[in-house]
Amino acid sequence: MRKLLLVVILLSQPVWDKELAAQVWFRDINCPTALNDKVNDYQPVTHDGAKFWSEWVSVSLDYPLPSRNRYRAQPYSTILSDNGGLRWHDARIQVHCYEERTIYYERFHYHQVNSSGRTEIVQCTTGSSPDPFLNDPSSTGYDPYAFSDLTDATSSDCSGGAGGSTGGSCSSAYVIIEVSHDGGLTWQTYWEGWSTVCS
Amino acid sequence: MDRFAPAFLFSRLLLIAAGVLLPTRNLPAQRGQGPTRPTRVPVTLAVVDSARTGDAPYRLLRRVDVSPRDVILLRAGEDAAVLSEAINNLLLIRAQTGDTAKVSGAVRVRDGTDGAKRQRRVLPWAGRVLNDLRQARPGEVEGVGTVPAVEIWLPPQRGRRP
Repeated sequence: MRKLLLVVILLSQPVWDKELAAQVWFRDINCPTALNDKVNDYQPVTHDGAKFWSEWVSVSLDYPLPSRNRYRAQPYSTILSDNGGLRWHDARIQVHCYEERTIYYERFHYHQVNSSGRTEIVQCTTGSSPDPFLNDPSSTGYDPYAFSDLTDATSSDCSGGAGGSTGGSCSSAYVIIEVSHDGGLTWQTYWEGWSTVCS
Repeated sequence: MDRFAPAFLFSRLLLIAAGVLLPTRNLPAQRGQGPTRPTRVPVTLAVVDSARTGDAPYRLLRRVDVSPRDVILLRAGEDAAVLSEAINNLLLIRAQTGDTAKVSGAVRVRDGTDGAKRQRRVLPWAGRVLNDLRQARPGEVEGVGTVPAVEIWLPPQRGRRP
């Protein structure tokens, strides 16, 4: 059925103007807010010689986005290469968004033109657990752009030893939480009591 | 462009038919990579002029029925320490009053022990976020206006201590 349909498509294309039929137009387009795996025509992103799969979201929220736009990996800013050998921190790419058009079709391309971020070779030790500090906002490994605290995108059977908590001391303090309904002119106590405050 | 029209339209129809009948590419869902449910709570950071924050370098807004729910208005020119203080105070407020606001308004934290301002931890990623915030071009934030803004996600605080 598929072959038959392809044959029909090919045979049915008009051929009265070969010059026109062979012509291809390219046009820059506004980049989308988010890119799934359609970057590089569904091929992985490359960085430091390794291949990475991820979804990507625009760094800028200003619309319309330019045709050359910067994206960061989501939901994790640290991603693991497809062979598990390289960890890419603060993974970012620049993508060129453009349209390819002929009289027969139009295709949208999102080609990686640049990348940035720090990479780290994953040191494999069997049985290591995923990095435990990714949920602690005071740790260097915390990703403020990830909307989930699941660690499956950055963990592997190997532990790279990246990040780590900055530590700090916590103590109990009596705090007062106040609320204002008039833009800060007057304040009312909303909650007060002892709370743990870290420094 | 008129000479393109018949061939172009015919090709579109064929492509639509092909899209329906031919198998699609190896989509993430087909590879078992379904969407991830958010388990963190968002907050929007926005740079505003000093008139919006009063005397303070930042202002925390919590809204019950407006999205984004939590907004940190940061005065232009403030540093990572101030941003960290704002985020730490928001975490403290969420821990004591809930991850989502029950009352709309500006909120602040006062130290009721001795009135002294404590030196709070500077979050190691605050500088990077601040840099992103400075580079963000203005976008619409409901109830705030058109301002440079970024959204970050913080761990839920209700049920745990900061």
